[in-house]
Amino acid sequence: MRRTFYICVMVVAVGVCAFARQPIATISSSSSFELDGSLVNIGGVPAWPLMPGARVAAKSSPVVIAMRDGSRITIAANSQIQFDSSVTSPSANLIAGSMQFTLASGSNLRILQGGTPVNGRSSSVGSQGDRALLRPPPPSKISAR
Amino acid sequence: MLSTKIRWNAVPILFLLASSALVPMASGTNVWTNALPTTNLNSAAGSNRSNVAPLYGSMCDANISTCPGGTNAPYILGDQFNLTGPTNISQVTVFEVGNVATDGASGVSPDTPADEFSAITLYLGADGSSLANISSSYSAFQVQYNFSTNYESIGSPGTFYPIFAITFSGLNVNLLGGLNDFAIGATPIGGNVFALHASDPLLSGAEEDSSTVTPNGFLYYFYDGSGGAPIATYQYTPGSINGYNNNADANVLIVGTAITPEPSTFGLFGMGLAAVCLGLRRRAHRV
Repeated sequence: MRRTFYICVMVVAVGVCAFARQPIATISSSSSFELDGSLVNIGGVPAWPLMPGARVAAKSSPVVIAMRDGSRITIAANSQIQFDSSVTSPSANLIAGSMQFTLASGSNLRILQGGTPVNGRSSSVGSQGDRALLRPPPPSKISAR
Repeated sequence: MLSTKIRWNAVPILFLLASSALVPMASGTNVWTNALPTTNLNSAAGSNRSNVAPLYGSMCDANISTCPGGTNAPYILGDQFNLTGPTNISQVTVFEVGNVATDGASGVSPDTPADEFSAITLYLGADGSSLANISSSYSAFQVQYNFSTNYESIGSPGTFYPIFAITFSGLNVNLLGGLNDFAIGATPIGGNVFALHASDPLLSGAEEDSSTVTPNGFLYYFYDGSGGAPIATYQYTPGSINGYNNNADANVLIVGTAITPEPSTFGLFGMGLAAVCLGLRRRAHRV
């Protein structure tokens, strides 16, 4: 009887795990950030799961989003990004501020700025972001030894 | 009953063993490698030259004055590196091209970095933020391309300079996964100038992690107003160094240890462990 009970519990647990909504990425930051409008205090936790449809707002520090396919998005401080609800072909829409992204080879992730698709596999987008994310070429040449 | 007790007491040990499997060895592994180049070296490579040693100096910081032509500020150099997850960094090695020429292409250096700089400082931090002062304690020794050749000057072909591997070890710095930065500060003695070794990852012939992630070139860091922390402002693009037109990623070797998995993994592990414990306990009660 007990064995049957344990088997049932295991089957239910495996089923829940298998059909649970899977995160599409992990979020990490060196300070607190907003996830779907709620303030997340990192409290030593290195990475948080990011679910489809999530809205992420960086506060005083940049937020790094590591997608499951290896793509990476870095949102500048005080910037916001909105993901759509797709799991297989997610899109990341920059709402405010700026971000830097690098798409992995074969990635289905689509990058948008204000709803407009952004082309390229690696770029910085936005206009009011952290100066460190907007890195133009140096204004003058330097010398080498 | 005794055997059941022994098994029950062994649960914490099993937990520790399982945990040790989740956490890699404390000694660390290479988490980012941008090795010194082995091909297309020095002047003999012509336009395919892969090695370069950009000099520290000063230039206009667009954040504090209008460029070009604005007030110059000192910059230091560094670069991005990518971590696959949260990592404890234990060691960082960079390469500096010395100020005093060697006797020929394979000569021994007549001095050391400590003779040229009163301090050499490692800065680390998340890409996009001000970097933290990590350590000014380092060891240094001369290295050569393919164990045989020194760095040949770009401006004065035929003049060779020593390359020093500068290693900051015993670090205990936790960084998040994703893009992070390092930068090297240096306080010169006299008129010495720091030159951080860099190379084109597509021409170097060596293991270059930046060839697939950030093949964009080294970064220029200016000190911000909050305690002198450096923050990246410009990124090298080909053509930004006099006499050198290829890519230039800083050469660096970073050793670290992956930090334990994210909370959800621990949660699943804990649930499984609880189930095992519950089963053992019920079995003990039956006996």
